[in-house]
Amino acid sequence: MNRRWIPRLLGLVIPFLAWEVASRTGLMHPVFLPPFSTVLWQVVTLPGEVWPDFLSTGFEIVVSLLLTGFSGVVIGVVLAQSEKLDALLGALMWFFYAAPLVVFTTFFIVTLGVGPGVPICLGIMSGIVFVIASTRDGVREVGKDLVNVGRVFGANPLELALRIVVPAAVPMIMAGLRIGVGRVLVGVIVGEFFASGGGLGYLIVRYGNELDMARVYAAVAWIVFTSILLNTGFARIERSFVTWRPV
Amino acid sequence: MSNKGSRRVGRLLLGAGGLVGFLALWQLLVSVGLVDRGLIGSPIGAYQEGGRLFDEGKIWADIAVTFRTLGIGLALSLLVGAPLSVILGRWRAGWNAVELPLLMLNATPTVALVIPIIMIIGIGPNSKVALAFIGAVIPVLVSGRAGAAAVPDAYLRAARVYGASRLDIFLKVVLPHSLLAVLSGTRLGVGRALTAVLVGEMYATQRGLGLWISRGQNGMNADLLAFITLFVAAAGACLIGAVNLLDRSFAGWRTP
Amino acid sequence: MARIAVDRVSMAFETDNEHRFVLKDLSLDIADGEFLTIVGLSGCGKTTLLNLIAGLLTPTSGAITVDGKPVTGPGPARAVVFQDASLLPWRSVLRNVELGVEMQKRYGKEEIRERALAHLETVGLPDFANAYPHQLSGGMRQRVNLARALIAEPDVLLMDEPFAALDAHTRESMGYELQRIWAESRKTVIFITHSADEAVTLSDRIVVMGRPPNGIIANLDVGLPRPRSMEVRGLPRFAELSLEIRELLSKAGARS
Ligand SMILES: Nc1ncnc2c1ncn2[C@@H]1O[C@H](COP(=O)(O)OP(=O)(O)OP(=O)(O)O)[C@@H](O)[C@H]1O
Ligand SMILES: [Mg+2]
Repeated sequence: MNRRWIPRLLGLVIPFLAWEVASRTGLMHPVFLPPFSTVLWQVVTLPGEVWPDFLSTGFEIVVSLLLTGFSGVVIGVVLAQSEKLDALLGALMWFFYAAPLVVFTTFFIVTLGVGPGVPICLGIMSGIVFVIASTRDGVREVGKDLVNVGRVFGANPLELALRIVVPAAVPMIMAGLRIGVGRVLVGVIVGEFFASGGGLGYLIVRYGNELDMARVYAAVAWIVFTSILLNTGFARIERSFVTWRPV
Repeated sequence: MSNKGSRRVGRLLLGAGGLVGFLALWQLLVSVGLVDRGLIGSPIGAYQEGGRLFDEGKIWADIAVTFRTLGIGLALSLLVGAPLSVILGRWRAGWNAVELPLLMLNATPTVALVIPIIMIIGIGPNSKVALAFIGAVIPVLVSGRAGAAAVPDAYLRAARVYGASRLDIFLKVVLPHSLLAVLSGTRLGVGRALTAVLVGEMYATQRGLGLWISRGQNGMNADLLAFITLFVAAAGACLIGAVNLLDRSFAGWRTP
Repeated sequence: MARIAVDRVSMAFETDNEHRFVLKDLSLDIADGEFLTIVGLSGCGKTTLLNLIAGLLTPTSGAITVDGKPVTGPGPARAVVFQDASLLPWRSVLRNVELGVEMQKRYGKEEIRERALAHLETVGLPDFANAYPHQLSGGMRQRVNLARALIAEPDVLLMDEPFAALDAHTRESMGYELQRIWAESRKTVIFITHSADEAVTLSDRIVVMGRPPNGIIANLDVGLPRPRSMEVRGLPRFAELSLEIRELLSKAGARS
């Protein structure tokens, strides 16, 4: 236990110390790399200064995640119904998965205008493929027996989807969301970065233009916190859903 | 067997049909006037704009810039990442030291680093190489390290029993094992690096495909924007596809 | 009037581009309130026949009618007790039982809950309403499975080897319980089993199926007095019937 914590602690302390020293001694230009302690202070004070930007990033992430989850599940369930439809849309989906997301930025800015729409759309676009694919696979794996249970006891197609198929696929859907959530965040930040309305991504650009680098790093730090929070949060939610899996 | 093969071909044909159908639907919506062509362009218009662009030859230099930047960044990240991930995989304390910072970097969207990197390194091509490097080297390290650490102990013991030296074990057991993991890290890394380069070019540059994307905002016509968007997306998708294929062809001898 | 009429039904499955008949021109009438058991070798088409009657499968040719009305699809009037309990693992026992009736929109929420509790009482699980399926033993799951079918208030109960997974003792006592429930409700029951003794203990009539697609090779009236308890196994008629079924089955197995 102790053995592992010593290198871990050193691994955190040394880089930050080196940062502080490099900046204080002028080895790195302090305008471009302000001392770590200054940045740390900005990390603490930033939320108080620009809370509307924190709110708008949070809002965009939440909306983006909800829409990604909802439409991803719907599309995934539909694709699971038919091999042919899946093949027909497969290449198109793969194209949007593999294409670098940023190329669509300008397109969204031109069509939607500057504002929260761009980050939300980019977030959905970058995360949804994972939810679709994993929902589709999850639904395909739902046992014929469970589907037959629904059919026998009078479920119409919608009830079959809502009460049997989708709940049975929830562990897979959650796995898709867990992978997708990181990408949703990237999409949102890219959107804010270019469609300069507000939010953490926008702050980076704005402070960058003002050469206020301490605040740039503080905003980056908050994005990293958000990312870690979302990842661990979803990993935990996913695990809590899996508890009823073994029967 | 042939049944399976023909189903694969069928799927591919359907997929191609889906792509064509998407473009056709887009064209139809624009032609009928349901969607404003001035806003999103049309596939036919994009094709014509693209043809002109290539005839004039202006875009070639920018394609070259972007892919050269990407190539250098990827090469560097492999050069550094591959050996380092092997070392970290076998050296416990070393891994413990870098684990947290690395995982933090891994959770950082590369876009967020664009401005710091450009500020520190400068607006020139080097900063984009650095962005590509950072984008790619982190997944390479994370995945490659896990691969090197996961060499089954049984292998090592067996190798030792047969009198292999430490160097032998390293070269013949640990290295091949980690290289496969490095490759699958690269698969992720290529995507991140490409995004990082494009964002870097969109934010501050005089050249590259990213510049073409960002030009779209200021008075470029919609057809040209549509062409650039589709072209760069397709180029990126092809690159990712190629890496995927490479990864899969190696996966054949992954399980001993 | 015959409650269920299976009229010259054939069923073929597509396998590797060929039609394979599992059932060919099979006819069977089941009276209102009758307890009919189907026995037969594994793979002879029992489940297929049951699923056809349930409406989960559509026959290749022929017709199935219930009270003169053709079966076109599944419905709660013909509730199925599935072979493996097939409970929804994310629902509590009570909610699993409720599933049997909730989609019929016949009762309000509270009424459904009361009925579900009553049915849990019937199958002897009143204390497990809030447990989850993975917390139950195999026998308890089958009771929930049965309660879910009963709450649907079906005219016909279709039971596909419902007790196959249970130990001998639980199996026998579940059999007597089923008999009691059936005696109270007088539903038409079609029951599948591999056990000759179980068939004789429970049924009014036993149908023996031969190798596919031979269909029904024997039709036996049990004629033992009801209610039956463990003592019935000591009667000469019981032994005689049980032996006859075994002989039929082994002959059907040998005649290949
Ligand atoms: N969906 C299907 N597709 C192809 N063949 C099938 C299908 N369902 C059943 N069969 C075949 O039909 C035959 C009869 O199957 P069925 O499940 O009715 O047998 P069974 O009498 O219930 O056997 P068991 O006692 O083992 O449950 C088997 O040979 C099986 O392989
Ligand atoms: Mg069966």
